[in-house]
Amino acid sequence: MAITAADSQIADQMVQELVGIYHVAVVKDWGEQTGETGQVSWNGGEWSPDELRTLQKGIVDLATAMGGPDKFTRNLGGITINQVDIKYRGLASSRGVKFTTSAVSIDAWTVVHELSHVWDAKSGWRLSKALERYTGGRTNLLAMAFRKVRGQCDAEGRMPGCNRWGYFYGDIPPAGSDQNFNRKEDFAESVTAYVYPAMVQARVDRFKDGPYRELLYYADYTQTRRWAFVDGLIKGTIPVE
Amino acid sequence: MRTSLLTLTSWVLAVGAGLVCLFGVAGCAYLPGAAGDGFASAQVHTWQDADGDSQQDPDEAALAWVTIQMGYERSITDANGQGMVGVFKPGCAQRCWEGEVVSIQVPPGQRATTPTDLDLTGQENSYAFGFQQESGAPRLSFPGEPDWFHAFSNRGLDLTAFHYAGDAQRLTLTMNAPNSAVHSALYADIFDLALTLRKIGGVALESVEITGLPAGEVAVCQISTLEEWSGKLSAAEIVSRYCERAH
Repeated sequence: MAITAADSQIADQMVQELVGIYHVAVVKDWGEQTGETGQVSWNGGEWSPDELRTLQKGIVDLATAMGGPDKFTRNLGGITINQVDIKYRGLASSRGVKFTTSAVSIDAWTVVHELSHVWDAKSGWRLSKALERYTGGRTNLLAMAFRKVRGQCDAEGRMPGCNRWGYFYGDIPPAGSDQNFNRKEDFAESVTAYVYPAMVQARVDRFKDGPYRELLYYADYTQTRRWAFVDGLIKGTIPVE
Repeated sequence: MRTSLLTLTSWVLAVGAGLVCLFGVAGCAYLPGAAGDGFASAQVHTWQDADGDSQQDPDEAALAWVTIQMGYERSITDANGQGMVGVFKPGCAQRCWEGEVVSIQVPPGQRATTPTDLDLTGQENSYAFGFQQESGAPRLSFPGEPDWFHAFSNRGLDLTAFHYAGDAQRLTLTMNAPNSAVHSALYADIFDLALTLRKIGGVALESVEITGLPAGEVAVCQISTLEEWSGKLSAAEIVSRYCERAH
């Protein structure tokens, strides 16, 4: 549901707070517009009040996990967030995040995941490389090809090195692994799981009683190497080259 | 000789895979300086298939409050039998719905007249599930859209499942309690939140039972009125005010 004229004051206030406190500029696509005939009408835009609240929640949650708005702005810098007609649910770069205008609404998990990509991108993707090293993983397309040729991969591509990127993840991934898993996604999911540890447990519990138990299941995310990495990164005890 | 062939094949595959990624084919889009993520979702309609022919006829009504599931995510259909469920697909560029399945839980007193699991066939496609009342089973009905559903969602509590438990007079709701860094430790303790409702006249909330606690412990919370739930209390405050842990 788009933003109505009645919602606009609260929506505008949220946008101002996000840019003022967190340096996150939401591209405002709602407001009065003047037609060719000079007639003024209301344009609700793509954002809904609920989506703005979800965005705000994700930003606040990540900032809180990082230690406050100052740490958040130091890590991410100034960014822009908008909704555009793209095939992705979220597309992140060092400049900010684009969310899809699809009817499927964003959730806090997705917001934190995309912001984590931005954090990684701002570092020149060094954070995800550091996570790969810290967890004992590597990326090698040739080794992936070997594995596939030798029939050592599962059909779902969940095993290390069996994804499209030749990503041989080390230790247990934060929220499962599939064909699209790579170190960038690993980092973004690891940070998001750090922010929402209870939520991520529901995502790995599905592997508890199946063939992927040893690879993809853990009982407590805070006991994993990925949690330790993100915690160390936030607290400054793990330097990134 | 065999090893050489394998090596050559692997190089060809590796270079091929790189090119495939580079040109964004087969869902492996290479995005220089960016990261893209996808989503698989399904729109679901559940209806009362009175004649059991697996087809929705004009005079057949919707069946509300059916639990639907995809992967780790659950949702429920609303008073009109409409619902949506989906899973986030990190790194997925296209055809993210492939390999995903949408399923439903058959409510007690009903039998499924259509398959209970359906493979997704496209992004945001619609899937219909029919149910027929079993002969002799009591009809379960809930007047309108329950206020408690809004009360929970307005407070940020994510109602994810709607089960019938025990006899026909008892219901169990399952929710994901949203968490923040501040509350995550506590929420982790009470992640599985099961509310026991007793039907008194309409639908009234009587007590909440919290599972997911350390082995042997159960927290039982007495909530006498809906107002206490629909107030501005956080889940943590609700637990501390109204719940007692019992061994």
